[in-house]
Amino acid sequence: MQNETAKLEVQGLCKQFGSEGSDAKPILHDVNVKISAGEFVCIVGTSGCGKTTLIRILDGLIPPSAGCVRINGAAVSTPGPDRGFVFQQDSLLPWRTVLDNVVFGLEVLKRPREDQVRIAIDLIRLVGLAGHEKSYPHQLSGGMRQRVNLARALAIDPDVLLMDEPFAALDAQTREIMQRELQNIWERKRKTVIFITHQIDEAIYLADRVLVLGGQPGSVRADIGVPLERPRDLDIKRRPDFTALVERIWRLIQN
Amino acid sequence: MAMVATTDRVITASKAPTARQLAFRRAFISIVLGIVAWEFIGRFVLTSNILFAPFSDVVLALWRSVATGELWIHLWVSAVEFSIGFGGAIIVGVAVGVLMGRFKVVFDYLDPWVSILYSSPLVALMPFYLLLFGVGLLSKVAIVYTVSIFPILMNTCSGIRSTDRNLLEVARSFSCSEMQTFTKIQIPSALPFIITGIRLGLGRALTGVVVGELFASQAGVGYLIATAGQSFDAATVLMGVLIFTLAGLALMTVLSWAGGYFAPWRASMDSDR
Repeated sequence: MQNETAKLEVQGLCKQFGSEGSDAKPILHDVNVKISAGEFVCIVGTSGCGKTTLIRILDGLIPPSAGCVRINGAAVSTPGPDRGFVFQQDSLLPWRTVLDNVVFGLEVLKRPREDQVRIAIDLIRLVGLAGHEKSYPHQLSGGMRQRVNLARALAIDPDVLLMDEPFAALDAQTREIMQRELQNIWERKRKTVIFITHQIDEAIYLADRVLVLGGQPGSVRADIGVPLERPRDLDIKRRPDFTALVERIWRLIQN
Repeated sequence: MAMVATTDRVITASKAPTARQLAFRRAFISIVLGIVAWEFIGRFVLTSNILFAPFSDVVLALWRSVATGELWIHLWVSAVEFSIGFGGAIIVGVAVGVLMGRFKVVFDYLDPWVSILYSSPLVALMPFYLLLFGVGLLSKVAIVYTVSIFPILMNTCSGIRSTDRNLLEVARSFSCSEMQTFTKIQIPSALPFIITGIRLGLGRALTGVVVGELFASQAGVGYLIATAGQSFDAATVLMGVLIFTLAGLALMTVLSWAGGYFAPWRASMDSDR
């Protein structure tokens, strides 16, 4: 790690639901993570290991029981425009068009309408939905809705992009296309990204670093660098070094 | 590089136009058959014009009433009673419903009353309102208001309360203030419910006008029905009913259009209970 402060730092994070005593359910224990600017980090783990809890704490949607989250060195405890959250699914406002969904965060920040529209139109083009500005979410497929979801999070130009299994509800083929496009978008935007997934190949394909979360309560079991060159083609998933990495992480999760 | 969505495509919900046309044709045939049956029964079965009147006589009565200008006077009186009473119910019902939906305290205190009054036949209050407000406009406005406010209030309240938790989470994630969450998330998501409540209230409001005027009045379509009934004029009685029916139908159409306009994402919401 460099000497400069990390973009995002998690120190001694613990979370338990319920009060102290017998009914307390520990979810996360002593999670420590350090992520530098522009890094793409994927967090993998079986369901129930606390991945979603962790990313919700990072966004400030729920408070940690102990420990802290720092963005650019400053502790955060509530949601803020320095973080953009891409939800799993069905989080678009059904009464708003694609354009109006994308401007949502900017509207909340009370940015001038011309700026909102200009930024949104650029992002809608970036995520490949040009021409669908006036469509409503119910007119879009699942993949398209997640593109809007991503554009909405990017619109507020956050320091850190938090993605909570954004492609989990998509079919296999759409998911692969979305992975490729997310990589392309990231190449252009160079945001710091934390991406939660339970699919190992998705994690390796996208990430600079894969964190394996496991145990009960969950903690970071392994921190694995992905030494694959970018940009990555989807074919890379069939390469021996890729599959070996999948194998290695798979074993870590199994233990 | 340009990102082009290759596998994603727009899904446009569309019903087969033939099935729709068929349904429309059947509805039309059904109405025509009903009118023919009405005419037949009136002409050949229930021939006493005290008991029943054929469709053509009802249309004739309507035409006469229009020609003399008498109908417009009564229609206007009924329309005024309806508009003030129902308009007030919408405004107050939505406002109180929103407060109940937003604030637990308000909900806890008001909910028992709302539940009791929603299920009670409030038209029974008419004699009381007559004593309180007299035979004129005010007693009718009061009864229309009273019978129609509860469905509006209840639906608004449950609309606010049933706001999708995921959307509330989106609001929090984007750091919405309380007010922004309310105006940008809760109100629009409650809108289809509010419209459903208004539709439910509409039927009750019309009943309120009829009952109010039948009970005691000096003018109005209900008054027309009451006086015609006293003089054994079945054609005019049925004409009055027909007018109320058409008015209800017209207002329902406007409302379902409003539902489609304000809540295009939720066309399935407009099924009445």
